[in-house]
Amino acid sequence: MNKEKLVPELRFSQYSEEWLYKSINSVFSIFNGYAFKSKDSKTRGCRWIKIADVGIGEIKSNNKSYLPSEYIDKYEKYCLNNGDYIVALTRPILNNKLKITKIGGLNKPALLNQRVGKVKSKNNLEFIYQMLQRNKLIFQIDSRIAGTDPPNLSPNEINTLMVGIPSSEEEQQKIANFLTAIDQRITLLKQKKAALEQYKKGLMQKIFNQEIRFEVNGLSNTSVTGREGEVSANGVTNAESAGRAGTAKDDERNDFPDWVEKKLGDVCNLQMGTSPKSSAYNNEGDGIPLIQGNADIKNRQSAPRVFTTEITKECHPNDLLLSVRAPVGEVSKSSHHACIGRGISAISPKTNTEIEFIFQFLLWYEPRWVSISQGSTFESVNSKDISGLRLKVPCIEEQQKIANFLSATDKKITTMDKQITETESFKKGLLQRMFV
Amino acid sequence: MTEDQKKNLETQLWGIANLLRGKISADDYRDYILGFIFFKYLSEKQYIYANELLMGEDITAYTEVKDPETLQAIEEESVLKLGYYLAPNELFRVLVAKGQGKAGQGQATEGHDAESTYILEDLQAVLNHIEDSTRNTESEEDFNALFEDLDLQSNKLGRTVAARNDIVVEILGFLSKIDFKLDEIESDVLGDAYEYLIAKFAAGAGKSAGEFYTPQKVSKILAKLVTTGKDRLRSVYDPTCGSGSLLLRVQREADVAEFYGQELNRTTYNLARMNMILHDVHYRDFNISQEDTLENPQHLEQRFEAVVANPPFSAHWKSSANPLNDSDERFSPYGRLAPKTKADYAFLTHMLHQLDDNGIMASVFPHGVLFRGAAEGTIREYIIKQMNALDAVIGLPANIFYGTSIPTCILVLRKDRQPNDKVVFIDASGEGHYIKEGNQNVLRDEDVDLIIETYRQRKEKDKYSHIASLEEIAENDYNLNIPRYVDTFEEEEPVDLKAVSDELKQIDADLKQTNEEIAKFCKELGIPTPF
Repeated sequence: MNKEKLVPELRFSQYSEEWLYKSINSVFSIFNGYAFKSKDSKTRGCRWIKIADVGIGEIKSNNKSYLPSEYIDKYEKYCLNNGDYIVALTRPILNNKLKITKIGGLNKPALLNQRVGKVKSKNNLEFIYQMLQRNKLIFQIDSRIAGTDPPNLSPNEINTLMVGIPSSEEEQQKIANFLTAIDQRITLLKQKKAALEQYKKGLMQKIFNQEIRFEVNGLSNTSVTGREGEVSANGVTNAESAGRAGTAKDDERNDFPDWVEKKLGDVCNLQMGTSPKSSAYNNEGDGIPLIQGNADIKNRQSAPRVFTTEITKECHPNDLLLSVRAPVGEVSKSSHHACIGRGISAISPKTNTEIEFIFQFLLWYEPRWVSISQGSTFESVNSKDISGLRLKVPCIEEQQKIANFLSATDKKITTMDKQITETESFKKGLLQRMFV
Repeated sequence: MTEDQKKNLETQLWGIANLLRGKISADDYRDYILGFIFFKYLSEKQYIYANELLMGEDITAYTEVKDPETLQAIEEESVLKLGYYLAPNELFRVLVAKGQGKAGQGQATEGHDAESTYILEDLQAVLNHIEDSTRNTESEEDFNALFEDLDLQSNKLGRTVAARNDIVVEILGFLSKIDFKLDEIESDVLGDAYEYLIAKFAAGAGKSAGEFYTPQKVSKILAKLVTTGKDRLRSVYDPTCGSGSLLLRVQREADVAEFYGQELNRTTYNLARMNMILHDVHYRDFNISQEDTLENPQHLEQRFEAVVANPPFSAHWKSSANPLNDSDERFSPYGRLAPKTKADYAFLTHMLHQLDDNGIMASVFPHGVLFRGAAEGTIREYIIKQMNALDAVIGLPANIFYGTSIPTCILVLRKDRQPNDKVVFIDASGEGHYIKEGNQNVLRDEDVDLIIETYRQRKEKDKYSHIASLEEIAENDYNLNIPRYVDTFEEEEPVDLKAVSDELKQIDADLKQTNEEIAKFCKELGIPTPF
């Protein structure tokens, strides 16, 4: 330990006192749960928190267990209340993250099972919780875990690890508050993403079942503002009322013509892939990229891994790529001029077809391919199946409006992903710099 | 009562198999145990019948009869009635008693008594004699070489003659303790127990050749399908009959006058004949042959009122490599021959050839027959379009066969369909139409009933069945893949857009607040915000 003052790099300016370097057992302790008998399990009563319930920053609720309510008094020592923090003691670390979480949402105490530890401390618990998310500390804990299958964390083993904490309770609290707010933002962003996905699903249901229609002059309906949160809620309400109004006031509102049933082959050109000889594959950039199947697609965009000098069938940027083998029907976009293998079919628009509309339709249709695909070990569809796929198609203007609307929603969802990742790395940076 | 007896018998029989585990390998002792059970059955039958004949005579116990003339008379009667003959000293119980002479007297007399307790030769002679007794009689074919898998000289039983003798005596000893109760109970209780053993042994065997024992419930479906609208059948035929259980199953659904089968595997062929006799099918009423059905059909000129089968899945066959196939009336009408590596359609058209004009055929196939193209597509189209013979397509759950998980289907064909008759498609593969038992999927009685009821009443049931016109099938290019006809797609719950958009607004409000809070901290720290 050098003589420099023990302070974090990034610190709220009102605090100047040196942090303290302490062994873990003098900062907090972990209290192991009780070996409740599985025969005591009830279908209701008080919640029984077992090892499998502890996730990273969450309590899993897909498989809840219960113990008789009278155990709350009988095993008072093992009770958990809202605001307590618990940590998994068996397989405690997953993907370099500690399985630790805060208890919340209980309306009566829960009971702590063995191999789940409750964090006890005179210091600020929220601060300890945040500290326990630091990579450096998790790494140190990981190196003291006994056993590999399953790895077991014994509280005694980590007691001697040294950690730095501010001596002031107030400073602990303030750091915790900041990081908790960041956590809150991440949670909200995730919720928002999930809600947007639901929203998009609802839109597709309504649009492709033609429960909502666009009108010629209703340009504003499709507008999706770039600002967070305002997306499409307005858009849809308008579109909905437009649909209703359209039938009511024909003279003023000029609806688009009816949708016409077509086959995919009528509105698009299809190119079934053919795999080149494997001897033509190379990593040197000879020839053009090869999109062989699903493995060459990431996030619905082409992401080829190898090149091929033999060019069998080709796709071009902006073509759609449809997976024709298990899982059949996954659709993505090509950003490459590439050779396509037999797992892929490339789709490009004919005149009067908006390719983004087809993309959105195929997204909606994705779970429905099962009725066409066949084969037991290797499901697949052939070119006849694809070109024969029936769909209802509006006129080009309406196609464009629908396409714009839906892809704007998609962009919004992608934005959420980006925001989540950014906020997560922001927090990572704070964990590195705000502690010692 | 009989159900209990059956269970009990099954347990006892399987118990013997378990006792021998480790001494002999499973595949090997199967043939011995099944063979000896059969021998005991024949022996008891003979004993009961002979005693019946002796009723009112001076000597009424068959084992006591010494008089050659009486024996001669019994032999003649027996061959006529039972199809075979066993002399009193050839009876199972007599041989066991002799074999156990050693066990009974213990080591003290070893050597002294060795010769008299040695029964292998006697046993071999008896088994040979059962066959011989049928020579030049009607039943000859049914008994010919029936015991050939019971090789008493085989090293599999033991390395020395004494070891082999010991183990045979042991098996016979266990068997003798089991009372088959032939005179008391319905004789097919033993037959069922016998079949149970076959199934138990089959569960682990035969994979390599694509041979799979047909699960009971599947047999039941096939049997019910071919007896639709009938309570008696002139004949039933199975071109790949295995141990014959499918043929026997049909008998439970209707009175069957005659059974015909063909089986390639010699051991299973022997089992089939034993199985028939054990189920009290009179030797005159069954005709089972051993040969390759596709290469050497044994019943080519006959037509049958019911045809059932579970042919090996996608077996190899000669196809065009055998020039005779091109002109074979079973395969030639369809324009193309089934591919070399997939004999499914060769079996199917063979069966169709053997089917009588008023008959029904039902057979299990792998899913591929529904949609594979090329030659198979051509044959399929011909059967549907030109012959109008396809009556129903039934998709079964995956993983219901022992030893393979491939999804299978049943095709029902008939030759008496009217031009406008529709085709029944049933998707019985979905959740709720079977249960899991261990790692196996199993059909329940209600699942079987639903399939049969749907077929017989040609009912349309949402997400389960569809009655398709021939035009509809033509529109699908004669592709029979079941999801094209039976739509099982569960439409998602409609999303409540209003609720979701309210939720979004709330989240945004919360986000705004959180962001403000974060911004305040960031400002204090002098760092930029993450948004």
